[in-house]
Amino acid sequence: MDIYYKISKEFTDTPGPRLINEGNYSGELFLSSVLIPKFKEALALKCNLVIDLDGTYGYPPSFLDEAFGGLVKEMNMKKNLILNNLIIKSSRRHYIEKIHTRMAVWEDLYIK
Amino acid sequence: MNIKTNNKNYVLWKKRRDTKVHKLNVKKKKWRKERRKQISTKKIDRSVKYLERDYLPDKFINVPKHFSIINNPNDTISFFDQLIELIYSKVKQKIYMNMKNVEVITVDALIYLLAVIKNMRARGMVHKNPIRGNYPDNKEAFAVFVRSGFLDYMNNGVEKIDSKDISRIYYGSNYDQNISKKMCIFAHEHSALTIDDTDYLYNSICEMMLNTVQHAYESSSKLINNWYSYAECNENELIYMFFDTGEGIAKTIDRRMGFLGLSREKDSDLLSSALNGDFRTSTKLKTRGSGLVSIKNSVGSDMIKYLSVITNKASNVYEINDKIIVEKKNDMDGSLTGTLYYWKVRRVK
Repeated sequence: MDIYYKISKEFTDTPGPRLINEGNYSGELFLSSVLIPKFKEALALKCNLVIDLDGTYGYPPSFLDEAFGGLVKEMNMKKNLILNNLIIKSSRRHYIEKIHTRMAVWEDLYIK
Repeated sequence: MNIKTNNKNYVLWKKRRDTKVHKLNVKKKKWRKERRKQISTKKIDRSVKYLERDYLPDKFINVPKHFSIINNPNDTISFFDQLIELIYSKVKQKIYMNMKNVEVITVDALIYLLAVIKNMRARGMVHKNPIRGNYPDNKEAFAVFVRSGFLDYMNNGVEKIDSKDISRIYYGSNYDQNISKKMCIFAHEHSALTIDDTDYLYNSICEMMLNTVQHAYESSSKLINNWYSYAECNENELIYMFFDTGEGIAKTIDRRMGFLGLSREKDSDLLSSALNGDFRTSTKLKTRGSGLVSIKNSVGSDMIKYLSVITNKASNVYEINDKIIVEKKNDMDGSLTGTLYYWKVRRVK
């Protein structure tokens, strides 16, 4: 049984800036309060974490970068390993592509 | 024993002396009161004269007939340069903006005027060089004044009109994604656009706000760092404006390049490079600096068909033509303090 998380319903429909000190509902807050705990839970239960991006007004690039790029850094795992247990669901394909690109950049920088 | 105090003559003498001292004290008190009165009156007279003496006659400046940063950047920016120079001058003088002959006004110019006035208020310069002015004789130009919500921020006797075709001018200094949300809702109310169609709009406004907040403390701008946001709709399109009163993109890059010892390019080239993501941000992290790129790339979306960015001496336009973003660079004579983003969104009925 996968863990399902819809951002617009459970976090906010107006995602914010990159860092907590820059404004409300930041990527950093999403990473620390949702993404890391839920992903660890999924790893422990050996299931997938499904993040549903639909229903929000948008996703500022800084938010996605900090949240999903930050996951690579914080978990100290390669992008492909993370994506074995993380499913990103969205009707807006460009967000999924952007997340993959940003995760790859963070992997190059922080994972050896 | 016959002591002095019991002496009859002494008692009489003491009584006479006390009466004399009392009379003198009453006289002195009265005199002091009069003197205080005179001094206070003199002070008031002096302060009035002092003010009158130090104030030069009103300085009249004529507002350009076509008051618009977007459509008439050179004249409008030159007017603002003159205004800011007068405000910051050491000479006390009342500034009078003559708008009588203005024929066309666009809200971008009013937003900039509002930013200049708000900056004066915040820095306590209103009393030194107060600004006054008249309204345009042209009815359409006057209507822009009233409809835009500019007068909500001014002391005036003009009745405010609520129009459904415009959003009011929002402003702030902090990141507030609710304003981006309001701008998207404005699009949904005036066009058959959905939440998925306007996500580029939401993301662009959020990134612009973030740029204002992030660079607030490193800016050497003449104006206090704030952002202003506004939207209006006409028959075929929705028009959005976002104004950031920082030092401007070209100057920020120039300051950083100065540190690196690189040569100076034209402002329009610097702006173009910044929007293409050629410069790293102040954080110098590879994971940062995607904000401006995403703003430019929003033109590639189905909804946004035109984007104009005016900053310092640069005025670049991005339009979509056969699914390719066409860039038109232009360098102006004057320099705008801050950055103005102006974009048109296709109205779907």
